[in-house]
Order: sequence, then structure tokens, then C-alpha cells
Amino acid sequence: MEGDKTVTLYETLFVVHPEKGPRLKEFIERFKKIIEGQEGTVSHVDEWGLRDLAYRIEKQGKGVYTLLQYRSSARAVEELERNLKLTDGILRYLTVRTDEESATAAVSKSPSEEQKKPADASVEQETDRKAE
Amino acid sequence: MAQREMGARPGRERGDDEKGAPRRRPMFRRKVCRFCADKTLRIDYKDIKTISQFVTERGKMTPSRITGNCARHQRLLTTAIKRARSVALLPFTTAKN
Repeated sequence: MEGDKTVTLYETLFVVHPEKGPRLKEFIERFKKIIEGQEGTVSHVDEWGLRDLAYRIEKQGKGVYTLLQYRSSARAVEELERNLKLTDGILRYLTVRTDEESATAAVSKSPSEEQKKPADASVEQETDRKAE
Repeated sequence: MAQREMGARPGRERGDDEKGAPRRRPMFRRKVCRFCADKTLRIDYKDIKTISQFVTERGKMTPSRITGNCARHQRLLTTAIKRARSVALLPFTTAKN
């Protein structure tokens, strides 16, 4: 079976419906328990808070982002993703396997302060393209 | 792409190699991959500030021939952009939503 015991570093980013925002703590607790129930260890929880979505999801323009970093088996990921799927009010989630050094880097400079719209930083590139 | 290709062609007939006929090649600075130049710079789908520099206003990925990224980093960037899109950190398009 796939990766029964191998422990790897993963991170899961999930977006919660803004109206379900107040229940975020509860969600985090639940997901943490799931990981721990599969003998994983949650190393870091990063709440980015309410951010603008780049496009609408379920008619919402905003979402509450949370990043979980943990070390676990692939089984825990399966279980976590299954639960994310089942939970109402989860707009999106993404699980990625990370390598050690990029994980520590991410913790030190995780975003959340740059709330600006993703689209505009690219003006320079765009003009370049037209010149071509 | 057009410019480089056109510049290279007309040489053949005139047998110009030693004289170096004035190929119409615009002055261009050799672009260096930004991620190779700065090893500390990581490509991460969560780091929208960096990533959005490689995306046009419309949300398209800028080709490496314009940004000068090396193949490896362009590849990493591609996955990062796609990941960011899937969690609504970056738009797929800004056509009006």
C-alpha cells in the first residue's frame, strides 16, 4: 500500500467560507486531531485570516486561509483530505509535500500582511510583452 | 520570438559571415534567471508577491523568453502558479467574475 509508515513533511492550505470564519478554531482543532490520530505531528499552524479570493468561489469574494504544516504518513493526508471534503464551509484546500528548508523559510516569511490584489504587481512584465 | 528569427535569416545569400552584415538585431541585455541569481529566492505557491511578478495583468504566465528564467525555475514557477490558482491566491483569468 502506498506509503504506510513513511513519515513526510506536508502542508495543507485550506480556505474557509467567510461566514464560517468564527468556527475556524474548531476546524483547526478537528484537523489537528485527525492528523494526530494517524500518528502525525502538527508542527505549525498559520492563520492568514480573511483574504480576498482571486476569483469567486461559491459566490464569495473572500475566504479565511489557514496553513497547516505537519509531519505524518500518507494515510493521515488521505484522512485529512477526506474530512476536508466532507466539511461544509471549506471552499478550497491544497496539500503539498514540502522539503525541510523551504518549510522553515515559509514560516519565517509567511504572507498575510500583503493583502494586495494579486493581479497588479505584473504591470512591468506586461509592458515588456507588448514591446515585443 | 519573431525578432530573433527574422534577424538570423537573411545572411545566407550574401555570404556575409566574415563581414558581418548588419543583422537587424535589437540591442538586448542578456536576461539572467532571477532565481539563479539569487539563491535565497524560493519559488513557493504561497508567496504571491514574487509569483505575481511572473504573471501578466490578465493572469497569464509570462513566458520565460520574456522573463529570462531558466528552464528549471520556469518549471517550478509553473507548478507554483497553478497551485496558487487552485486555491484562489491567483486568478485563472481576470475576465470579469
